[in-house]
Amino acid sequence: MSTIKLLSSDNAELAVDKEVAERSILIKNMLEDVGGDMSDQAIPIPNVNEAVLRKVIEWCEHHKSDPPPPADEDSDSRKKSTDIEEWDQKFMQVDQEMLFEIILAANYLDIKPLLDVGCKTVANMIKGKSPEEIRKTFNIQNDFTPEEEDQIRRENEWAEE
Amino acid sequence: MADTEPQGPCANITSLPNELQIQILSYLPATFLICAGVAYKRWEDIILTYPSLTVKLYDQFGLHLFLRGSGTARLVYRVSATGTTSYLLYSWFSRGRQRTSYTDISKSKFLDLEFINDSLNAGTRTLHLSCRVNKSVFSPSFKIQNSMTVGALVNVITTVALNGRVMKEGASPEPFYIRCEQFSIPMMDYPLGTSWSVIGKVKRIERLKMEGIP
Repeated sequence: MSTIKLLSSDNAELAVDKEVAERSILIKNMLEDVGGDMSDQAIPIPNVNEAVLRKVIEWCEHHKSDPPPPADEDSDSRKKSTDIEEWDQKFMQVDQEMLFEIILAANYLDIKPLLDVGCKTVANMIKGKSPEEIRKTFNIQNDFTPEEEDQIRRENEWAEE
Repeated sequence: MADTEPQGPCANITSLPNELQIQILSYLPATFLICAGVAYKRWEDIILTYPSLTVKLYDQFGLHLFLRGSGTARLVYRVSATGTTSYLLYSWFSRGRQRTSYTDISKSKFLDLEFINDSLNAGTRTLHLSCRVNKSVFSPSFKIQNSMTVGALVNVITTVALNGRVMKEGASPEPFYIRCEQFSIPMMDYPLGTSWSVIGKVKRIERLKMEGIP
């Protein structure tokens, strides 16, 4: 089995089985463009740092034998279900920054199944929460406009009369 | 060696590009979409402008509201009386100080309606609404054959109207939905300046967080 090297944004060189790396459509296309021979040169992955790249490779290794995802990107079944298999659930038990970095990396590297798992994980974190709980979970600032804030303030004054 | 692009930290979901936030939201059932829209205005904007997300809401509810805090509301509902489905997006401040239409896809005359006042009799749980036509003729008998559409309109007005009262009584600012029944609007032309009243029976008030909208 041939091995290729990936170069992370922080200049870490990681050796990966070609079959594993080709879970990324971006890398697969790059390899095809150069005739498949990248044995002596690392492929730069400029948007992904070493820690995130290692996580992505871990996911790709576990899923290297999975069948390719359906071509229909807007498949109803894919959109509606937020079911995540057990291994992936454990894989996604990371802090939020890493979770979002994995999502960004999956998007950049064009690994749709990983992107789906990441987005489903976040969706499951939103489910069942009140708006205030959602804001707290994701550290989202309340984005009322000054006009709205002023309106609320005036209404509160009125209510206290 | 590659030219590395600086990669800033992405500690917050709001740092994700829109396309990824849309994908995340697309996995949410309609009820939780509304909660997400209330939590963060950018999501509300995404939900109201990205077709597959808005259609998800229409398909489940027929209409929906984003009630923000104690004072503001944005609503969208489906108008299907003419045989073709169209959508209306409307935003206002519930106290009536400011009201702005965003997108009037349907050209519905509903935009001309002004809610004047309401009263809720706690004993009988009846709701009394007064409405006025501000800009043109409102003709439910000719323009709106589908009574469900009229009911939806009244329900929207009712929900927004009651929002201020519920908040005043100390409820938490979470989205809620008021189901009414037995509303009727006399089928006739309502010329400019006409006012009329509607009486409805409040069936129940539901908090989205608790049980969603059946």
